[in-house]
Amino acid sequence: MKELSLISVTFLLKSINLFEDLDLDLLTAIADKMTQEIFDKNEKIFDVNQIASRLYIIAKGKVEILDENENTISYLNKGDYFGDESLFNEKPRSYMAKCLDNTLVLTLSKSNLLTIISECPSIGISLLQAYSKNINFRKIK
Amino acid sequence: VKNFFRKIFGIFPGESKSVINFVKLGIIWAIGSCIAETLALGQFTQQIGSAMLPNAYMITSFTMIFVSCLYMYFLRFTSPYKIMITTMIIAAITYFLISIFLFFNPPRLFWFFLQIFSYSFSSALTACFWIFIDQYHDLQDAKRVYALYNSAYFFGFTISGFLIYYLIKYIGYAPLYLLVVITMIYSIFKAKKISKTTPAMEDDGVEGIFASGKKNMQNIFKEFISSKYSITLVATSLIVRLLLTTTQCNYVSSLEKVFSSNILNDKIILTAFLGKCRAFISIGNIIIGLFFYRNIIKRIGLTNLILIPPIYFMSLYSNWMMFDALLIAIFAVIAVEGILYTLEDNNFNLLIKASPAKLKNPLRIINDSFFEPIGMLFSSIILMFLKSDNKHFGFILCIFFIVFSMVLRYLYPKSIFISLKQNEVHFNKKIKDWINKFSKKDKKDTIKDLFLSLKSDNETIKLLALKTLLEFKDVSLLNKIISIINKESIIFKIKVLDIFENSHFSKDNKIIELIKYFMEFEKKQTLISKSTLYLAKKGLLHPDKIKHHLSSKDLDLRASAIISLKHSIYNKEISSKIENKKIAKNQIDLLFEYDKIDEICIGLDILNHDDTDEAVDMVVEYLTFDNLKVQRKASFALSQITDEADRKHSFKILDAIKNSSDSFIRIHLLQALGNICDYRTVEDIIILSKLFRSNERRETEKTILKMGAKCISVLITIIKDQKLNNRSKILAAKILGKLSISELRKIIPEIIDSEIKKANFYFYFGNKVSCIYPLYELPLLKNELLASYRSIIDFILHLLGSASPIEDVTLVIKALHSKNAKNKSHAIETLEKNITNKIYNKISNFIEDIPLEYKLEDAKNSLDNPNLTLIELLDILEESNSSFDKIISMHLKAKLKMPQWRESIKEKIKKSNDSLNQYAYELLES
Repeated sequence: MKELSLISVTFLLKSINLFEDLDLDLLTAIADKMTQEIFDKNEKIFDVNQIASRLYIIAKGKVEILDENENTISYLNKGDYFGDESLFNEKPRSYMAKCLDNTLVLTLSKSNLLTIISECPSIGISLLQAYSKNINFRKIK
Repeated sequence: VKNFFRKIFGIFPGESKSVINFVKLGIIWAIGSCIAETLALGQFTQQIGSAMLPNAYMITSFTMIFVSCLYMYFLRFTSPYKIMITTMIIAAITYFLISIFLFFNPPRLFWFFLQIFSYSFSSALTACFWIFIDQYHDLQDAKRVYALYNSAYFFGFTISGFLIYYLIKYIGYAPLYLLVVITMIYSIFKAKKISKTTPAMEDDGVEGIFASGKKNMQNIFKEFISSKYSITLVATSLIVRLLLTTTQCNYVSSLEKVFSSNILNDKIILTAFLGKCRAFISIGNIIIGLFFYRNIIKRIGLTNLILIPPIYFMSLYSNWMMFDALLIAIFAVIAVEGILYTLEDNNFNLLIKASPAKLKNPLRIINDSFFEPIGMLFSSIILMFLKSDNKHFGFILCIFFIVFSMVLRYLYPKSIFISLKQNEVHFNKKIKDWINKFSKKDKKDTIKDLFLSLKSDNETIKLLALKTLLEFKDVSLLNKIISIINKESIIFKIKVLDIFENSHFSKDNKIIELIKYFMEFEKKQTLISKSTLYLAKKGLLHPDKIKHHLSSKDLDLRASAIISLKHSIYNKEISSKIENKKIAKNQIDLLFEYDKIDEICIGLDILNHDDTDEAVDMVVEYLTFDNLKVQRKASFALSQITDEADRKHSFKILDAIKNSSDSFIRIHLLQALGNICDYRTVEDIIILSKLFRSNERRETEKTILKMGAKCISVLITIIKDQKLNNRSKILAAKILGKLSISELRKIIPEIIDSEIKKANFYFYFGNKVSCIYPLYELPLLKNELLASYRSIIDFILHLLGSASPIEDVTLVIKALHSKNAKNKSHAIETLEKNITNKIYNKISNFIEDIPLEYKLEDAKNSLDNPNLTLIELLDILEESNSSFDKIISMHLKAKLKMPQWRESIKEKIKKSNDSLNQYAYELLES
């Protein structure tokens, strides 16, 4: 599997709702910070309880998300992102990600993601929207 | 007592347990590893004979090369921790089996195996141990405690010698090998405990320190050859290995000469003498590692310390070549057993941390398992050829050693900054900047991808692909682009016109022909109007042919007619030119007459091609128009048509910036101010910048830089102004650093001391407020004090960074605040290397990861009165230059009903500004 060119990564990001509001210059700057990793079929991208430090975006292939008992939680395809929750709650990975196919993922480090959110708050808002879809009431400690 | 020992060993409160665990691990595995290595060597000599040792070493070299390749391979799939545990398990099983085999008169091959295995295992485990430790320590930690761990190793080494010496006579070999098994089992449990209880250093360069990470060997190699620092480090390490073997040979031969005159068995005396030397040097190593290395590093810095070993070797060999005396031989023993094993090894452990993240572990393996045999092999070959000229060879190696160390010294801060830069997101780069950096192949591949994207179903992607393709400025692509566009929908073609207009090819014949084609043959009126406007803007329409559109309802056609009257290339005759401009002027006035948004917008679009004073006067008025679209058009037009002659408008533009929160407006008006170059606006712009977003602050910087040296005195005044907010002063310092770094450096000393004093005050009381005044609920006061502290520190760091050769201060400051421990320690190192020691020592408390109690102690010592009462503290805040300090002080005095708080507020009202007064009145009324 071949890695993507910088511009192809930029265009891929543009098609993801998280980044769709950003202009080309900003997107290219973000694409430049993306590391590309190739995983074989059935290979784990990360495991439960692993220390989390990166956000993942699927550029090619399919990924299965499983809980600690290896029950399937979800199937993800090109353009989907995962692994972001642990970056914010600073807890280890609560699920594992396994490739169903030969997969190319783009990864972004936590520190870069935070820098990008501070420059482009729309990304932070998109993430908030994604999280708030899944909760009815935010528990107060 | 605990504190005393902690301070002596440089251990911070809270980390004693983990440091002790690492020290224990270091001592125990060193005992096991050294016992095994020594026993194996002894038994090999006994059973096979020393004559066969070179052969064993030769095979060992190849085995170690094989093992290090194996390690590098497995690092792709598994963590260094797992590799270390596996190595220890293999060692434990092997030595257990060896201890059993010893009872059965093993064959010759067994002794070869034992010797080779023990030597290789010892080196491999050294690499594993340091890689394991690296996961838990950043560069700043390493400076404090790595020498301690090195001493732990030497301590283990010494103990192993004693154990062998005292026990072998009584218990023999097999139980000692069982002791090795026990040390390995203990080390496995210790390492597991450490991995569970000690938090690993956060480094998001790779996902999960102990997790699987696919590190492609090819990528690692590519990264290695592109890192000058890593190449130099590896080369220096190889030279050190060669020098080590050469010097060992030289001192043995020198000592042989000295002792050969002795009537006693010279070999025994020589061995005893060497043993004595090594014992003393080992003790010296432990003492240096425990007590001195940390302080030497702090005093002279790593970059200076790395020159000491090569200088020592150089002076040794330059004397040695002339005199061959016992004393020099002793110095040579010290060089190898002391200088190399303590200073050089410790230096390497720190230097390796400046290498790129992906290379750190492979470099460690290369050094510990690969270069030792390679060095052994090369040296033996070279020495065989040289025979009597070893000292000259050593001298040549010293020259290389010193040169490479100098290069390393030069590259070290750069490499650290490169590592920091890897985290920089280049928001200021445009797509064309990225394209310019592409290689030929990248360009070719990208163009191919872009043409594929042009066929996408997603219109946004198609438009972006087109825009990007045009950024390549490659005329040969135009035909293909045009043929694709011709097949597209009308809406797409309309959108394409905007992209063409802002591209490098806006006036290219092929594009003009395409647009003329749209104008003549397309049926959709919108496309025809937009195409007409495009050509009019380029001055390509004859005014007479388009004049009739002046009364058109279609605003694009009307605008085309007006623009053509003003700017057409066919407007050649002076009389008709004047007449046409007059008509155009009237038509433009008409567009603005009825306050219709669309008409005003098109009017402003027309004016952004007109750089006359009249046009600027007209546009400026629309900055205050009650419609965002109009304001945006006006600000864009001003960014296009203003110049130095428009100074009379600079304060109006400034007001518009003040009154707008829209980023587009702010940025374009800042550009307009940059065109006008009116340095009278600098102070206001800088003060306004405290509310700006980061892209607006970048634009502010460009704007003021454009104004040039005239701004220097204003910027100096701003930076010195105690009343001004730190955010604005930071920007002023950054700009002054670029305009005149010498001026900035001049004012730093007078600012820095007072700022540090303020920082200490806020820091101490911010952290102590709830302890000093336990009867009050003071979270608000605490937060305010700590926020002020952070703001001052930011200012100090930006000020120092701007006055230093650091090319990107913001990047360093961001890294200082980062949670990524590696980045933070690299940022500290960068700052330390770029400012004077005197100033660094003053601020080190604020930035280094020193325990809070130490920081508080230092802050307390710097305060005039650390025992302020709450009223005194609030009184000080009330007199502060910060409005927020004053508000908090008034608020708390009122809330806690301090004596005469009303009188105090009334007094304040007389002297204070509007916003403060408003709050003061609210308090009084409540």
